[in-house]
Amino acid sequence: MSITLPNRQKRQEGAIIAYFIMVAILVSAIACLAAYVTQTVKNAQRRSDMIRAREYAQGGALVAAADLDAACTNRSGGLCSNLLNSSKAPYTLEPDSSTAEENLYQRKIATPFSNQTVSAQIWIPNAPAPPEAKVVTTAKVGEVTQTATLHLKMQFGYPAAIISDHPGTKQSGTSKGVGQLGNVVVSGGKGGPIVVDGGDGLAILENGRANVEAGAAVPPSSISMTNFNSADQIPDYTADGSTDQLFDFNRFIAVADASGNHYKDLATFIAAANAAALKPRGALEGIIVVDIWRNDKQFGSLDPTHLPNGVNVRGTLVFNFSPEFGPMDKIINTATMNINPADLSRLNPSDPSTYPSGYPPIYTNPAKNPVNVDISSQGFANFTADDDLPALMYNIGILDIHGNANISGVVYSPSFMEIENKKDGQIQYFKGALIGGGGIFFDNPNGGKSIVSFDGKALDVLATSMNKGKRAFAAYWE
Amino acid sequence: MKLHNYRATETSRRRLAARSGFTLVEVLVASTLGLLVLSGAMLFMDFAGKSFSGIAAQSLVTGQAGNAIEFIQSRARLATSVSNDASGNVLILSFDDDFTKDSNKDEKPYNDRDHLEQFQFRNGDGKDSTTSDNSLIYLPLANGTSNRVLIPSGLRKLPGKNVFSVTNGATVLVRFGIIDSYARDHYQGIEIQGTVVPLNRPSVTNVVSIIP
Repeated sequence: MSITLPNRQKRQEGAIIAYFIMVAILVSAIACLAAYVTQTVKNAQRRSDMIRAREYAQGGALVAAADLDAACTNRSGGLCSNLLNSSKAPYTLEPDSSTAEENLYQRKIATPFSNQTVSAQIWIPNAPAPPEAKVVTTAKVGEVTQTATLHLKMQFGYPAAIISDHPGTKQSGTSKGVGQLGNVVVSGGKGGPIVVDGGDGLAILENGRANVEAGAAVPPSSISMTNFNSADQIPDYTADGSTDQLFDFNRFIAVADASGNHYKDLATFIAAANAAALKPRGALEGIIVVDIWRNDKQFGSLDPTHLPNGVNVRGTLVFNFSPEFGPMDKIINTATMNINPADLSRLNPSDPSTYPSGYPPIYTNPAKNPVNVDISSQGFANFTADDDLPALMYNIGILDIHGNANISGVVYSPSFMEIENKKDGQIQYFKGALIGGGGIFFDNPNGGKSIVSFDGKALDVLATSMNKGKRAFAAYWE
Repeated sequence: MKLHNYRATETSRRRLAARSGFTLVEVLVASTLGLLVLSGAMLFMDFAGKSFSGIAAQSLVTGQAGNAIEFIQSRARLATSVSNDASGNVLILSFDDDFTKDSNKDEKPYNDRDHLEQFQFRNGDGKDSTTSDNSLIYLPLANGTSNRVLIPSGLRKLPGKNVFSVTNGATVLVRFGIIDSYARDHYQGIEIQGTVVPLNRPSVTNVVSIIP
């Protein structure tokens, strides 16, 4: 028996086609899968590149922000010239991209990256003391480009209740003499409490030594001292009597002149202060400048006899010592000083949560508000609502505060600062910060209450001269 | 004249017909060999199909997981605050809509919480263990109705872990897995976890966090 396949040749040809179709299907399936996997891998690679590019861009933004911060804290030149002339990371001004409102500085950042560069742009408002800046960085990895935008605020960079930039000495005593050598001394506390509260900052930030007597409530952990010649050194922004100080005194005097608040001698100031105190919630308002002359007939009259209701100010009190004064010359005030006073009715020295603030002042006369006083015609930038103005400042010499004090805001002196609670029952309360350049002596030898408490809101946007003391802080990312 | 030899032609035709057939043995051997080859091909196709399916599924879940966590990180990185619900199934992010407007009156116009966004781990039947109906949803407005499905199914929690954990308001930890429930390709899956520190977090929060 045999089986016959008719037309054998044609069947063989058909089988080859079938095999070919099967192979084609198989190859197509493999090709599709390969294409799919390849596409997926490409997507993963692209995502990886995107993440890397973004990380590089953000890292570059931080490097550029650090460059800007270094330019801020280097006081040998202006902010922009420091950027241009930096030995480590010089930027170039791009006039074509700059506008009337802001200037563009840029550079390529290669360090600390490996085989990667980031293009960094710093946009700075065209102002003598720019309050903010913007960093835009771009990084490209593979075919992916990512951009990071970081907005920076220029804020006071030394958050502490007591700030002293004097190099000081190595002495550890708690006498006034040790303070006069440029150190911070907090003494007393045996009869009544003496507190230095750092809040969310430090209690004491000092280039020299900070010596605290045993009875004073100042936690050692909130003290940073002997910072001179270290990376944490506070720059010297307190040159006695010079125009190179933390504040531009002439700018404040210009506001006082324009708003009728400049008192040329103590007699007119005392008269104005007494007149103001007679009114309900009476106080002198605005920036109050008092010229102090050595031969002023009322030189010793800052006392309760001549100021029975004390010195009451809403705003800023400037003691403008004449050039004849030296750093250790002093004027003593035993009268009560209320500058932006806080409500102390619930004050409990052992509980920092009861430390109120009277800052910022609320003006009853808008014309006295420094924000509303135009001094641009005198070559000064007007104050803005964002500015933090100090409560009390003097350009040289010593304002020795012996009486009651209720002051909210910054107290500034380029010289030795002397605050002594001389009588039982007195309250010396400072909410903000004390910034001194010649040592600070804070003393409560009797039964009064003495408190210095840090308030960041009173100094983070301090209206310093040419942004002195300011550092670049990251505000927000876009 | 040449005469045709019919006898010779007939004989030749018969011989040809006898040679063109197969014997039974030949057919049986050929059939057996054919079946073997065919079953081998079928087995190959089956394994190849499973392998293809597995590769495709693995690529899919890997891509889904990578895209999802990258998207969560990109949003959390720019949030002004981050938090999670008690179950760890919902991540809540807040954003400042206008950096020049101080909505919360704290003198900082750039740290407001103008709108909330959410990432939600959802299970369809109330049970986290049934992964086929678990999904990851993004709500561009927490109180709105529109949403975007980031992972439509197969989402699962890692053993003993929440999907979202926030420590100190400063560090977001995201952990989840995706499983492809197709049994024949042997359940492809991926587990992924990542952290992100919001760059616009409140300044009072620190960045030193203990990852739970």
